[in-house]
Amino acid sequence: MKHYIYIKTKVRNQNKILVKLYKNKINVYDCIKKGNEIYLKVLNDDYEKIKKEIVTAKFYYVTDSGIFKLKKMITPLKIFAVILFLFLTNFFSNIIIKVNVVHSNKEIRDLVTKALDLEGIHIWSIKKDYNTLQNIKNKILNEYKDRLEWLEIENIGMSYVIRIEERIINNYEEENKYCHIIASKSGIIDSITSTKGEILVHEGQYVNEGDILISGEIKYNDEVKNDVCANGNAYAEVWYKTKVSLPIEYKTITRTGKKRFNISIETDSGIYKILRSRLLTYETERKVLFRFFNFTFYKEIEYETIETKENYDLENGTKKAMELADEKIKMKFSEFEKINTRKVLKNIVNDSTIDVEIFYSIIENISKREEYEKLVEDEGS
Amino acid sequence: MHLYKTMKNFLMDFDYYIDIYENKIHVFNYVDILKLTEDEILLAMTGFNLSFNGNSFVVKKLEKREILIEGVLNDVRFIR
Repeated sequence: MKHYIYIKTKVRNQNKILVKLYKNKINVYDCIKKGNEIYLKVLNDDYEKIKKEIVTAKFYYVTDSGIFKLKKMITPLKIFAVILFLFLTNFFSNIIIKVNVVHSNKEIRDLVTKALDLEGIHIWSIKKDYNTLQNIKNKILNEYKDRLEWLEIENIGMSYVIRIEERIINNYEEENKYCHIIASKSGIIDSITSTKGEILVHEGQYVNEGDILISGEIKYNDEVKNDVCANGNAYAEVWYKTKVSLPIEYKTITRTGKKRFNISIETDSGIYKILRSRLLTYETERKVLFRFFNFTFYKEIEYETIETKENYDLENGTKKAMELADEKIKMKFSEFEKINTRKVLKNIVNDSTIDVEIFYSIIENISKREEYEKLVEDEGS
Repeated sequence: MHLYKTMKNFLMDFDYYIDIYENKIHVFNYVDILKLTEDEILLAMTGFNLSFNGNSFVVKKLEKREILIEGVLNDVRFIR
């Protein structure tokens, strides 16, 4: 392989020096002019000859060319540094810096954390392969089969996220308990279903609070044949009156169209902005830029907002009050419960508030379990 | 590279060739450089001389049988 080098010299006439080189049978493979200097690509073997034969100009070695340049650049130290870097990157990317056990119950979280710790999953441990994780998962589930229903170990970056489902063992009703289903509120029965017991009321019937809806006494020809713990649901139309008071003045926030960019870091203790915000009032939208160990970097877009104050009139105020009242009522709803009808009874505009009184008719579950003692007939009677 | 040159020699059986591009001239198989200035280049070829007239001529590559010149070419002449 030919070893080419770049040499440089100061000349006025580029062609003259090339002719001289030609006369001395020296090949020039490239020629670049930069200001007063020319850079020539010649064979390394010719370099000494050039210096010897052409004495009118001084030649300086600049650099090697091609593979020889690469050879000089790649020193053993550099190779070692690259290998070390790759090794360290690989090593650190296989280290777990966070084990996040996701469950609302602290006791379960502690239990699983402890079990994982014993299996070698903890902070600063090395990542496990898929099969090992499955084995650990099965082992923990077997060990705590009365406490855990399901467990999943998910590897996200340099952390493990453990999701758990707690096993809830239902305490089945004791068969020796006897109970009725009674009405917790007065109302008109809308629908009633029973899985156990005898239904005593029908749809459209008005019931008072405390009335037995589903009886635990199973009768035949007015004679109690059996006693059970009645079970079922009774939905009835019940009525409420509610009062909502809201301030006349309200604020609306609108974006002006002006936006600024910012960067923030999320740590365990919270989210911190790197740059000071240049807007007075703004809304922020966040996007994840990258994650590094336990830190998350976000790109933030701050949209400038403007706050305007407006007043409700009677119509809008009543509408808003009804929305608020609806939300409040719906929060308490369970399945199959709904608002039947509603009506504004009274709406008054005061100096600073609007008071609205609303009547609600609601389909609500009024069933309530009540235990009773089984009647024991005297043998003598 | 050697294989490529052998094939090229076999396929292009010429004594010489001259390639003229927008601002470059490539001459293969010249015999001698008779004159080399910024305005004129005179090359001795087998059986004739080749003259290039123009301005800002600079030699970009110079080998035993090959020369690459950069500059503005105005006129090419064969002198026998």
